[in-house]
Amino acid sequence: MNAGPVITAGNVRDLEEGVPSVVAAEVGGIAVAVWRGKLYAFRATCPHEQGPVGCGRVRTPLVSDRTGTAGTDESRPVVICPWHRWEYDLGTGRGVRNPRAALRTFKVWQEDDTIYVDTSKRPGREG
Amino acid sequence: MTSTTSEGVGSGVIDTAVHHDWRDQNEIVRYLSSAWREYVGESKWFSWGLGTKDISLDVPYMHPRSAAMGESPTPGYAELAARLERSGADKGVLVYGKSMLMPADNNPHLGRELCHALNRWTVENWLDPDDSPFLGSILVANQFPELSAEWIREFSRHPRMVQVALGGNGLGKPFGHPVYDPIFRAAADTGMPVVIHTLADGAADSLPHSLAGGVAASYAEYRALSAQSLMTHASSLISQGVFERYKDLKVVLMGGGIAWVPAFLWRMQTNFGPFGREAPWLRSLPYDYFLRNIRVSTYHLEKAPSTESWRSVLRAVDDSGSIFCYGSGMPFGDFDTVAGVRATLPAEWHPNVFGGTAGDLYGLTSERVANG
Repeated sequence: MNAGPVITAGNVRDLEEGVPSVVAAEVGGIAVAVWRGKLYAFRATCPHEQGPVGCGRVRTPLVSDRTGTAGTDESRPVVICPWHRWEYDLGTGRGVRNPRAALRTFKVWQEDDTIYVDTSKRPGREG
Repeated sequence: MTSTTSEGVGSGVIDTAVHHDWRDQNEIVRYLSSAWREYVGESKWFSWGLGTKDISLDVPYMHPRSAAMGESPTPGYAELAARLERSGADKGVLVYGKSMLMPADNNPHLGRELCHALNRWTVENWLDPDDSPFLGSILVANQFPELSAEWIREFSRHPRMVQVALGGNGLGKPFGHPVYDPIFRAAADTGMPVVIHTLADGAADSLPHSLAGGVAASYAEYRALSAQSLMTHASSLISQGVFERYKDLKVVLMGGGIAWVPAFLWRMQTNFGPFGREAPWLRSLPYDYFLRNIRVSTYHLEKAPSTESWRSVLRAVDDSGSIFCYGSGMPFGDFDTVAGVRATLPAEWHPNVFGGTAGDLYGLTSERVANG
């Protein structure tokens, strides 16, 4: 298990597009995923019913401005939990259909091909 | 109508579930055009008694509409008005009895004509009297949604027509299906709530069944399970985006009591995740749509062990009774009296349940309810 707030989370070359990989950390399971060239890290347990969201898939969300229609929002990815298909915006961690639910996201980066996650920080923030 | 009743309850009580029916089908047939009267035929055309089509759809078990406390099974205007006053209510919203099945007639054209006749019969015989304590429901021929929308615009001009009744589910689809959209659009345009009454789907000789898996064999089975179809329609209305299209629309669910509401909402919330993919048009949670757009009549109220039981069951959904409105179910023999429901439900809910919620639904102030 990784110790400390900054952990290594595997080799970016081993990641398949949209398929998260889960690593153990002191704070619990952390999932990392790559989507369209960008890395994302998030808690591997779904806040809904503690499902394995880390075993889910990263996709673009479906959107609609009129009943019975559907389109995709290419500007942001979501992760879909395999248990009840709750979706979370990986940019903000917010539930797509339920903003009261939030998935913890983390700062993630790569050095050479190694993935690093700071489990004490959110993405794009220092705290 | 006076506000003092034989049961000594307060004024301003609105009963949202009063079933009115014809005693002789000729009361309705005479509102058909001459051609459709010929189509139905007249009784005693032939000496052995045949000659007319029975226009009733019915259920395959004994229904308490035929055993109304020893009084005449199908009361007319004056008798039902008297019973309403004796029950402690000041206004009664008419929702039809067996007539409510008519939109599901297997002969859609005859069903359509009979629905229109029923609306005219209701207006002239139940709503037009100056001192009528009744408010009416427009029974739409839901196998013809566009025509139904025209009727809503036509009959909503009557000051005592206050809501739309979907009645028998003629197309056999949950009511959130887009085919019914013209009906909801017209209801929203005219500011009318839409009532869905359980059992409206339940005639033995019509396509849809009132219960999941089939028609009940006994009244006890039907009554115990009567919330099933309400759940189906509520989930359909929410998930198909009816309340996204018509944010101010109100739907009244009736005939299944109220204890089912928390379990239904909890299951909808729990299983809401897939809606992200399956219904991306939704903007709110099922719970929020339900509280904003759906009201539930207390008829037929469950017999909870105590008032405290009601508090513990429903507090998580609505701690003021603001989504519930009293409905008696009269004149059926198992109807719920004002006094009985008052003694059952928590006192803090009474202002909403006995008038506030329905007053908001139908645009009635308590003064207008009490004074006509």
